[in-house]
Amino acid sequence: MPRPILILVSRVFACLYLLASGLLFAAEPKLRDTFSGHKTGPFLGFFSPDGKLLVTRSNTVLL
Amino acid sequence: MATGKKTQVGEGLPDPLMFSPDSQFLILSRKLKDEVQIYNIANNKNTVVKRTSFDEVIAMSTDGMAQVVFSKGAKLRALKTPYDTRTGKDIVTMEKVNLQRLGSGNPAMVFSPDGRTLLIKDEQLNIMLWDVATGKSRTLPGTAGLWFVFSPDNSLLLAECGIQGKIESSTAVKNPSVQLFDVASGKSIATLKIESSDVVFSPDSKQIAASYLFNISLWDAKTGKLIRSFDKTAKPTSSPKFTPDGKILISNGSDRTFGFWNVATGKQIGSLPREANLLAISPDGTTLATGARDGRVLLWNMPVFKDTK
Repeated sequence: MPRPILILVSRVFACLYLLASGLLFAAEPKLRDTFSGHKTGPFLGFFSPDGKLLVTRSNTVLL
Repeated sequence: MATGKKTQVGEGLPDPLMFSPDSQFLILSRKLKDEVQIYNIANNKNTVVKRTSFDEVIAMSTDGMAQVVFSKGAKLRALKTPYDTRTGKDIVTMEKVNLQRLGSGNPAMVFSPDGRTLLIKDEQLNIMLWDVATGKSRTLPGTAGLWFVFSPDNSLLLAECGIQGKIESSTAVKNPSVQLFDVASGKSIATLKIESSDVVFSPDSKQIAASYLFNISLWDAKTGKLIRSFDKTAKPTSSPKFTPDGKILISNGSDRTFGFWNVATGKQIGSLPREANLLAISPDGTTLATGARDGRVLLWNMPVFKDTK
């Protein structure tokens, strides 16, 4: 089989595999907002029980 | 949070760091400074509760109220600290408890989520459950290992246990395994073949997720039986978290992504780039917060996965 056809066939199979595994059309999180304030990447954080506040911890604790 | 307005409420590495259940206060415990900082969110004021001795250590319940103080003479006191006072009041005192000290110099103490039960690992590696209201304690079967996790409904306890042995003249646990206990009866329900401390209960306390290297497994919290193993990951994964509805599990992959998993099928259904380890899920499950290397906090809309509705 000629090489271009081999490549085409392998790509079709790859797409079929992704479709079957559900990853091709998987929903992705959508970026809504960004906050700045820490100097380095925060490694801990959680929302308040009412969901209105977010506390994050890096070298400082920000609310 | 919708305004993006930020306030610096502290520095360093407070542990624990928690909101009060009514979201009105932020509580920051500083063990090295022997103090607890209580930040009133509404008026931006701090109250600092000072401890009196460097020997004293604190475990705080998730309601931010009960603290346990290990004072000299192996006397254990539980203090109830109202947010607006510097003094606190004793709840109960328990005598003659020699606590096991960990490498950091802190004894192992964990509150149940409702704050009513305090787990203590003593010097002989006994696992004791202490009723905070009455001061009565009971000992679970087995020898305590290094970690303990209560279920969200307070009814179950997952604990590393083993056989008592010696390491460099200290009492230590050998041949550790993971035991699932019924908190009310104190009986062991099952031994789970879990190889790491990376475990989390589902929000309804009915399932347990565990991750170890390339494997994520789901366990029945009632029987301790394996429900399913998820598809193997390409890179090691850790820190699994359930979404509030318990239908999606989010894992922290060493390929610098957060992986989204359908709990019902064990299949990966999505991913999100990971720059920093921060991942927070809002209580209503609609928003994710992640951290970026440059210090930013990113807010994401939680996607709707059709197979997990």
